[in-house]
Amino acid sequence: MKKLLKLWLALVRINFSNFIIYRGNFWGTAVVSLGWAVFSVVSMLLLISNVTLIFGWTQVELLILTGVYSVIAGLFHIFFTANFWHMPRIIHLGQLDGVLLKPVNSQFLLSVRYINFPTFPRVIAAVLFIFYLLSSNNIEVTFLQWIYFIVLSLFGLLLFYSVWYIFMTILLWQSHLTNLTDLLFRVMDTAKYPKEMYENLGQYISIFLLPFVLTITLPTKVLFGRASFADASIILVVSVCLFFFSKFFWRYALRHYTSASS
Amino acid sequence: MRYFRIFLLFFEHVYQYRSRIFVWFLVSLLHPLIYLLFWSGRGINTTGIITYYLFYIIAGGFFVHVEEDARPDILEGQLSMYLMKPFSYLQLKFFSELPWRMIQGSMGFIVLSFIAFVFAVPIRIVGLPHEILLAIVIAFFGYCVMFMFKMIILLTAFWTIDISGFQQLSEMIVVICAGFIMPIYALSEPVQRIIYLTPFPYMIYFPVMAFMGNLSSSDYSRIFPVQVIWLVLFYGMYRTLWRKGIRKFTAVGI
Repeated sequence: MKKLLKLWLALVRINFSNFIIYRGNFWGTAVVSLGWAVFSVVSMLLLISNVTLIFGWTQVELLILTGVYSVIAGLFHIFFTANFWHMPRIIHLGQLDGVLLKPVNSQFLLSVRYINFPTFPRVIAAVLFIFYLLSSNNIEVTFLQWIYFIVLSLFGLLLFYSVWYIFMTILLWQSHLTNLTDLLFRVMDTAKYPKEMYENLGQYISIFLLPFVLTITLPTKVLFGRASFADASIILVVSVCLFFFSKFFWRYALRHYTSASS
Repeated sequence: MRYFRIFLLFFEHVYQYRSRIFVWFLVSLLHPLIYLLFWSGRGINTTGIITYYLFYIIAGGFFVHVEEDARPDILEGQLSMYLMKPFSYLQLKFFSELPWRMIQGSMGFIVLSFIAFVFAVPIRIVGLPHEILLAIVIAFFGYCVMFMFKMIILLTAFWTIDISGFQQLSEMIVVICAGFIMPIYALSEPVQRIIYLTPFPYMIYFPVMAFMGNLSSSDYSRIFPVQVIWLVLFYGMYRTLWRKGIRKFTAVGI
């Protein structure tokens, strides 16, 4: 564990050096990333115009939900997205050999090699947006609620990561499905809307989507003091189970890896 | 005829990657379904709004992504390969993109038919032959306007090299102004007026309205000339950018 942490810090330093060298690229990407956050808010504003209550959520609550989505999705983009973007290419071109030969856990290296610093402004902007909405609408959040919020958000991140990794592992069999990343971005978008919206979809679909949707809805509900213990336990159990399954599935799938020449 | 052969060749190429097409199709399927669910929460569940979003599943299939696929041409210098060939780059890209869009669009059509017949969801669609013909013409011109717009974004790579940022920003604008999130008629009057000044509703929104039978003959006589104007304007811009950009182009070995 200590060795992995040391390696991760070294990788952070390398990524930071890259950011210092390519500052133009940093600002360009930061603007685009902020653009996506603005896009989320504008989309939500359009959808909630002329209504006061949707699925039991007020306009302000839905905007805070969008803010929370930008924070959690933003953190995901900082630490994992760039790695998942590289993964199809690494597998498709047989470059995975180089990763497997290194004396370190391959899943760890593939998941944390790249850090996307330009997304930090998006996360900061989203945090400020949440604080602005909370204070302007006199919504008080206690210290304990913030702790609960952070813990659930971290488990939500773990859940996102695990689902992404499981799907990316499929590339070991179907390496040409490089567009799986685009699909997963869209699936992630489902978490931007209230959980109650999916309840009309029927039992099977809503059970499948439930953990995903809870990753954003539940931490947001914590801020309003409406989170249920049952929902919290679902997200905790599912995220941990999926994480261990992603490890198992990756090890299993590696047995079927054919490399570029073999 | 030779371009038809190229089209067939690309069609075969696309058909090789059926699972990839299916994933792309799922990508275009998710957003309209989410928005449809959201509208049901607003208590609006009319035939019009259901048809609108189901048509946007097909429209999502016809959403041009040429700039994404052709990005390496300029970025990695693969354009040299096209410059050596006795074909127009624009036409080659048009015929290589069309099979992807046709196959994805037809998948959307299958979903729409499946929902309409199996779940007996009422769909509002034009029925008269001349209306269908007009809708197809509007849709074709809309597709061409979008294709030219995306080609212009691609050509900016001559100056910027990496267009991913510009491409993503343009996509956000297109998604909002082409009516993917919600129908433009449901927006406030001033916002509608601004959006109608842009080319984006002419790409997808009006073709969808045409297929839904929401356009009168006076609408057709207004929309069609505007589409032609945008097309000519974009083509002119494309030619200028191509002429100037090709002089800036550098690749390995040149």
